[in-house]
Amino acid sequence: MKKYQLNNFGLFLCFVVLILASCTAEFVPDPIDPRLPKYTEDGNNVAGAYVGDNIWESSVTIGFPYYASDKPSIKVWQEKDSLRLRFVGNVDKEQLAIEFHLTELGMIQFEDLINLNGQKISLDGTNNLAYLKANYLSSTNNKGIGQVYFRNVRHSKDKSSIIISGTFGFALSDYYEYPLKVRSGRFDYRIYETDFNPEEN
Amino acid sequence: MKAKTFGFLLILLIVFTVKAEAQLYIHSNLAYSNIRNDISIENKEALLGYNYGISIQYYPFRNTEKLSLINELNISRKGYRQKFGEEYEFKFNYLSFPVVFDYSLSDNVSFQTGLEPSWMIDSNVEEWKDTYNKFDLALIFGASFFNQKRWSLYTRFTYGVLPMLDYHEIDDLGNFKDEAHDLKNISVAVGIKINIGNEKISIK
Repeated sequence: MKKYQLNNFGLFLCFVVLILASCTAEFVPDPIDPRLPKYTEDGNNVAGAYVGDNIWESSVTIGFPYYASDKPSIKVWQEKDSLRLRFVGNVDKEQLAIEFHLTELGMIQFEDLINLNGQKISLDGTNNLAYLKANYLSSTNNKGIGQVYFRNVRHSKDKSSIIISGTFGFALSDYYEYPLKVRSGRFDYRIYETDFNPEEN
Repeated sequence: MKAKTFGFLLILLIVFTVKAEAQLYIHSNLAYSNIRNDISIENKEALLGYNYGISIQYYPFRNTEKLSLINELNISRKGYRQKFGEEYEFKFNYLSFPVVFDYSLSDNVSFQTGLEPSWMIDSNVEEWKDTYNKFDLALIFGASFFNQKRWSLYTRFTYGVLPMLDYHEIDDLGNFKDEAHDLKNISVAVGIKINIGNEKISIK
């Protein structure tokens, strides 16, 4: 009986270790500016950018003991054929998400994410949009004009996830209508099918 | 394979055709270490590095007693830091094999110049193996004082000639610029040497 309990505990430990190992972020500092993550294509679950003169850094703290709400969020609206990418992070410890709304990409199911590979998408403020959102609420309705570049999108080796790596940069006006630049952004996320949420219309 | 065999034979030839007295030293120094860079590295500052190792000094050239060769085996720390409110240190540990020509001006002073090939063996930077080039090559210029005594002083300027980093900068919009080959080690060191023995290494 005692042995059976130990085995269960061992399994639980393995489960916790697996969750932590598979979901934590690995921050590799950029050799030019160590406050930002280096651009990588390894699924390190990190992102970073300059927002004005400040550093925006991702906060991916998935699984035990954290909430799952810090995951990169990907939603698709099949009817409208649009894709929403939300990267959660903070500036000076204030939560700030960077969000992209992209259309006409043909995103219907998880595997379609692979089609993003190599796409450099112009954020024109009309069809393709970028937002800064504080506390998950739109801090401004101003739409960013710029670019998001999905430089490398591929399956992970074990095919369980898709690794999306790329860069972004855009300009918009802040809450007080002052011009604000989001510069030299980079992201490297491991996306699982459970992160890909078709929105019910 | 042939190149390796040739290199090994060449080393044997140099070592075993030399008829010379050799001095063995252990040495250690503290170094003011930094990098040279073309791309912008903001708020860059020097780091206190170090170097320690063993060396053998011998006189392989006939009729030129003032000229000698020094082979060294060193562990050295180089690097730099950046300050953005918080301090970020970049420390690189190298295993190096300098080959140095030493010219004695007098019993007490000699000048040195040579090459320092090095291999990065460790760093405090996460995933350093994927970020930095492991092989480094530097020019060495230096001086040594009181060589005839058991304890002597030396100073050394190390000037890296190979880039540590092959990197694509990302512009404001997220475009990748041309690959930059940049960041070269540089250091100024002051240290002590201890003569631990005189050996005969001549084999005809």
